[in-house]
Amino acid sequence: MVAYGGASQDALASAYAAPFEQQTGASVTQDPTFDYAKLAAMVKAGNVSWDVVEADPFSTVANCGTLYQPVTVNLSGIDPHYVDSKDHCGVPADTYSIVLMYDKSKYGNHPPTSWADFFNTKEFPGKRGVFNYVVGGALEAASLANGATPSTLYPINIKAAIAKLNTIKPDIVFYDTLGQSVEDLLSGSVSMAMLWSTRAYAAVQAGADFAPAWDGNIQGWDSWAIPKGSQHVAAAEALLKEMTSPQAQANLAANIPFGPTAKAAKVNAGALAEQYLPNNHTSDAVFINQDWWAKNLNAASDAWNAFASG
Amino acid sequence: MSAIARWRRWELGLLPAAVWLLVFYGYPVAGSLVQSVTSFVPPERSGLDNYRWFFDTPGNVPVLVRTFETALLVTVICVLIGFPYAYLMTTVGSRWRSIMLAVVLLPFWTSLLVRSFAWIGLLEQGGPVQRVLSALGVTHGTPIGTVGGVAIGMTQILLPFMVLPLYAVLRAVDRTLLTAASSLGAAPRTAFIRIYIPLAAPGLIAGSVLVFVLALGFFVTPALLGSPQNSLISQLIVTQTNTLLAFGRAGAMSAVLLAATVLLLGAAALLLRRTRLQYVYGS
Repeated sequence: MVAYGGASQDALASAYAAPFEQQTGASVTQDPTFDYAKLAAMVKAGNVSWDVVEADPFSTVANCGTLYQPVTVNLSGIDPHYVDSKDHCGVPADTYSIVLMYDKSKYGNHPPTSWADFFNTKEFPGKRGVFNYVVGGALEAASLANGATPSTLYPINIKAAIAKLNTIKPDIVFYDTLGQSVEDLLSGSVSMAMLWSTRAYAAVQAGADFAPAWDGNIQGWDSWAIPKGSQHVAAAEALLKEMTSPQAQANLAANIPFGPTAKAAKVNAGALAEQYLPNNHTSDAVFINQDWWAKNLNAASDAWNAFASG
Repeated sequence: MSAIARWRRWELGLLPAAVWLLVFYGYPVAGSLVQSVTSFVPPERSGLDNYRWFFDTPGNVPVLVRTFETALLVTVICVLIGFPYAYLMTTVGSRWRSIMLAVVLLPFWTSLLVRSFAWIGLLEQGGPVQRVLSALGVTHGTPIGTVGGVAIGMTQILLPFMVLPLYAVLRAVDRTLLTAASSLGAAPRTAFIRIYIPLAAPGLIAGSVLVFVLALGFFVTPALLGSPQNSLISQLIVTQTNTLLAFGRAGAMSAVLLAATVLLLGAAALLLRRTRLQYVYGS
């Protein structure tokens, strides 16, 4: 199981790998060094030592059959919000939402409620935390502030979205890691931020006086996939199947409020954590169109780099 | 013994280093160069498309220029701190010299990542540095997210590469030459500039080249201590390889960086040789 390490990988290991090991007697090794370049190099060299990797859905859509092995895991129990019909390689196992968080003490009785307010620095002055990552929600948020509706959000007008972002650039504080986004809330470096719901929860739990505005929250999901050329495809597929189980997903959510993708998952995580579960905010959410990202990642990335580093 | 036989013995001694360089430097660099003209992601298709992409996409060239500017800034700061430090090391007693050497070497053995994070802890909003400064009446924002933060972090990490070669050279400088110069009527400043600095030059040059070239490749420190507005070319290369799997573009970017570095260092070497000839044969 290859992911990104840290507390989240520990939670993933105990939610998915531990019951799988118990049921099958197979042993699952954890590797915290996931990296797309490394995966590509392994597949290219025909020497694949990874069997199950956590990958972004836009990557599994774009590289299905070349980097990833097509899978036949039954996804009928998965909430269709989190399934891309073009993705035959990725198994959606958990969800997150990119949400607007604002400083309660700063905005008092007149808090921001939408992405339009996030881009309105006159009425809502203060620094804005934005992830320096093209798929970090900024293009979606800017498009929504530009007047897009959930049904007209895609295809994103990249140029117009970047132009909108440029209007607040002097007020943007970029963060480069998700950990930094939590620090920025705690240290008061920002008055508002768009950040991962799991990190928003972590910040509030650690004492940040911030509140969420869920209108237009941008939901995405994490997929798991099998690298092409894996030595243990059958066992890997069995593990992917375990990852779609409502119980395993509920166990993960109880640890870190990643939302389950399984419709039948019953999460018992405590009131505060449940407030940050994406699943409780689907009615006013938009959903990341992975297919659009799979096709437009390059162009969007060029535009983003020119914007962020210019 | 003939000259050739002597040369062969030399060659044997260099062999391990040469093989190591060839395998771990030459081969990957050649691989990147080949990929820059053979590996494409749409809309690039063939030939020099990756290079065309590099120069046509807004943002790339300014970041490349910024990379050289930042490396130069860090090199200058390292000289300004490292030279007096190394000089002092040659004048103090052996006990203080060991302490000064340890001060340089200890952080050298700590991971670059840890040190960058340590700077965040020290410099962040409400961190110890800011608290001390505001207690002294200086109310200024944190340098984190600015070129100042990047320069502080990179300088601390690269300073040993300046101090060590510089100290090795300064230690060997015969200080009685300065006494000789002043006995011949040179003011201390003149003696220092005309005698000491030229003798120290090999160390200054070695340290500067090391610091400058290493600074060109930084990406963790500017990512952590700077904002994207301070990002360096390596950060863009990482995005191309790790997010976009565009190895051809990354190869082209690396080739441009390598070519610019070689050109710049070549020009500097030429300039230096000319000025040194002038020193010897001129005025």
